[in-house]
Amino acid sequence: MATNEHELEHLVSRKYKHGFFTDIESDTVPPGLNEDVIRFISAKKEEPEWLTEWRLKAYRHWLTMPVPKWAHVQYPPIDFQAISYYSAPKRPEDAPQSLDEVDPKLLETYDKLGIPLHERARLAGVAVDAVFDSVSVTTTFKEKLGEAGVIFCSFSEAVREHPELVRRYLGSVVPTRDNFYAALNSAVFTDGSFVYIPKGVRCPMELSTYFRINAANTGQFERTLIVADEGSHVSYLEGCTAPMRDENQLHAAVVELVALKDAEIKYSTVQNWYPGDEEGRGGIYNFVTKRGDCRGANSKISWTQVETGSAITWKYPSCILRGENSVGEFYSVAVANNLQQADTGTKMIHIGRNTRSTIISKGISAGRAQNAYRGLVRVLPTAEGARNFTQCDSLLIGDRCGAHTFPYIEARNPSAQIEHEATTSKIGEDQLFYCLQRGLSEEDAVNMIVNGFCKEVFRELPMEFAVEAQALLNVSLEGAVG
Amino acid sequence: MLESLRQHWRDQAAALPGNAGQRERALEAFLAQGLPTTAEEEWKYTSLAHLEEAHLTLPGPVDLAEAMAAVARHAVPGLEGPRLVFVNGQLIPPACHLDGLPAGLAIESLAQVLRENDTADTLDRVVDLDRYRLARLNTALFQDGARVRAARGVAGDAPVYLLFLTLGDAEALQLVQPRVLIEAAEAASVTVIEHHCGEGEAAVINAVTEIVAQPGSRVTHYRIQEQADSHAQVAGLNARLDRDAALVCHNVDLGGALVRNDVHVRLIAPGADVELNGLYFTRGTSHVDNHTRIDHLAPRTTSREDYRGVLDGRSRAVFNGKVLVAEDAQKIEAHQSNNNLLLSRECEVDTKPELEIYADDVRCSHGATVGQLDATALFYLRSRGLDEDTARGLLTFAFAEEVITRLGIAPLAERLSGTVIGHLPDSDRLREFT
Repeated sequence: MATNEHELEHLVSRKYKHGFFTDIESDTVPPGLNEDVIRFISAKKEEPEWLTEWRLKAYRHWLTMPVPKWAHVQYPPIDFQAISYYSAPKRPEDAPQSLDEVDPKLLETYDKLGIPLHERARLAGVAVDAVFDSVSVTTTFKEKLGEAGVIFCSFSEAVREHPELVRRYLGSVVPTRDNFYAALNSAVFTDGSFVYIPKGVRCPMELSTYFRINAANTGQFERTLIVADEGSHVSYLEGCTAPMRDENQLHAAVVELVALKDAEIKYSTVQNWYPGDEEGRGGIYNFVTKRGDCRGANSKISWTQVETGSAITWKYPSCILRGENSVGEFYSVAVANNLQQADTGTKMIHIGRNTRSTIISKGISAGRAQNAYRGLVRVLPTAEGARNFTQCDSLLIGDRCGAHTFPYIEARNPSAQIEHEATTSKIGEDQLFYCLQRGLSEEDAVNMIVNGFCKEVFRELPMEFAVEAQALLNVSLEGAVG
Repeated sequence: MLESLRQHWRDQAAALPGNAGQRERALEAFLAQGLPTTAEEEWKYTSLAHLEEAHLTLPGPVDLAEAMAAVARHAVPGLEGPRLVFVNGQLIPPACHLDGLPAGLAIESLAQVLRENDTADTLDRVVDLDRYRLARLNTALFQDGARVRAARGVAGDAPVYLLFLTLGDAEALQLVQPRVLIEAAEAASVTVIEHHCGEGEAAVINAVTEIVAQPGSRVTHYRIQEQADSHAQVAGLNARLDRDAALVCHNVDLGGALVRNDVHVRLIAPGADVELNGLYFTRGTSHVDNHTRIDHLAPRTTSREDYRGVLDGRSRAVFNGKVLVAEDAQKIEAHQSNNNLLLSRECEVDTKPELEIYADDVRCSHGATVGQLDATALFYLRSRGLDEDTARGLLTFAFAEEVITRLGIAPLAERLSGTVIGHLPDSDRLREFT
């Protein structure tokens, strides 16, 4: 294996591919957080009075909350007064209606990322609501969606156009007091996506959003709300890459999903934010609250995530299985390399009868990274016949990394059937030997084995995401073996 | 509680054996931190809040005839070999026998050891006091206990039976604190059965066991708990295993109102191996919490753990099994499983198998299940003409028996099988089958 060391060194030392910075004048408020800043954000977005009050209530509660310390991650304290809470590309009132109107510099950014937005959107039949910094700049395929009655727009637009829906569902899954970062998000969120699928509609295409973080010192606080009305179906894709930067950036998003009777939501994420350099400098802090509420009978919420980026990831996409026979799923691949830290997992709260949940979590640690799975399966006394299967496997690459598993299982119904299994191991030398002996390079062999390890999760991803995810995984682990 | 402990210290310091300075420091350190609370992750599911207000007293002298009668009721029949008996924390010499011990195997009263030759390393040699604070309370105020030492190369084959009996008193809430130190020198082997049982009114038992296993030694330890339904017991088992040492721990909980066991095993040198077997059967409103932690601190160390639980009534069981693999501790194999059988609608189980791994050449796994009896197995028995209750009882017993058969000491296994069957409905019928 030593022969490959030079090549590996080279690969390890490769810079973050997507590191660049787009110079667009930002309409940014000075750093700091107080009620005036929140009123400014709210006014800037022309929000109704109730939403401003909602934000202020969240802010006042946030002030009383301690910073959570329980996760298996370490980072210097965040100075919340040093963050600027609003930044929008110029001409916010004059939002472009088509790609032609989009600032060419933005398009340049997308090109650098290898995401030819227009082409890709047309070819793949995907509507893309690209969020650049905090204001949505383009929304495509709106008309086609409109025909089906699907509402897919930026959050600010939803507040203006569909206030009754927003007011009814906002905060109903993740209350403002839920946790420290959710409260902060509720107070200062700038934009995000809103999706409403009407009764009985199967969304004609996969919905996707690309998030970017731009402009130095800007924390980004996204708010996503997806409501699937009775008997509807939607698949939502979220993917991220970010420009290179030295200071740590805080990202505290909130995603709320509501599935009513017989509805199904599939939420897929590929997260590839800047993880920091080899010494752990820079990189995104990704403290996200994602939760789905299976409110109606026979509803289903499925989370699929591929997490390769961010310096610190702290996220637990969860399902509240309230409706009878509702189903929750969580498929996750989390990769941590160099000095990345990931503390991720899920919560499955079984409330309704015959609710079922599946958790498949694959953690890969390399370099000096720490990767933890933290999960909760709770079966309440009302959840007659609840069923859970959990499998969390960890793969270790290198002798300085860590893999940890903290699964909480709380069963309060005797008819519940819960299975949990976890394994931790490194890539078998016999597996590696077999591949090398068949003429594969070590790098390819490792990629193949790792992809095989993650297969169960990739299978759940929409086609084009699955391809992207595999490539991403290979890039993330480049040089990790030796 | 805190004030009453200080009072005890003032009243009894002179009578307690050992180094008064060490005891006082332990007491002050314990009082400064107080009892663990549910705000601490390690105590999330188990509350000792009711002890906060309790007025605990240290047990006074016991009536010999009464003690002897109680011993006769509780001691495991058929267990020959060396034995020490403690009632309410005090040694009962007429109930002990230590005849015919092999040369090099010493079984002594800890109080006597401390009185005759108090060396600093008799207490708190292994226990991590910052992690397990209740040991400090034991160190401060324990009255007596046992020290079992096997010298180099000695094979102490006959199990050493240590019976700790607690007789609850209606007038005072007694704090009984058994203490055991097991030392196995190089290549020695020793087997110790700690049997905790009790009767009568409420009492609080705070037991601490320390095991020091030198290179190549083998220790087999049993902690059998059959306390009265009114008793609360917390017990800390702390072991340190040197090169190629092996430890097998059997942990059986069949009684008690509030039970908390902390097992902490440290594998400090290559080749050390530990096996933990556990069984808990909770009924009524009992609460049994098992916390185990195995630290793989050196390469080529191995561990296996299998805890099984049967829950009935409105009881609650907690299991938290942590396996830690330290940096550079390569070639580790660690496997753990926890299976729970829920028999009633109101019971609750909270299980959390944990892995914390900082090395890469490891094979670690854990599994946890919560479920009911297998419907097909039940159907099979029914189709053979068994009624529902008997079929259920048999399958439940079979589930528990897997741990019991591993005990390896026939009289003990027989006794525990009897207790388990006694806890099941229709036990007379079940006895016909087993």
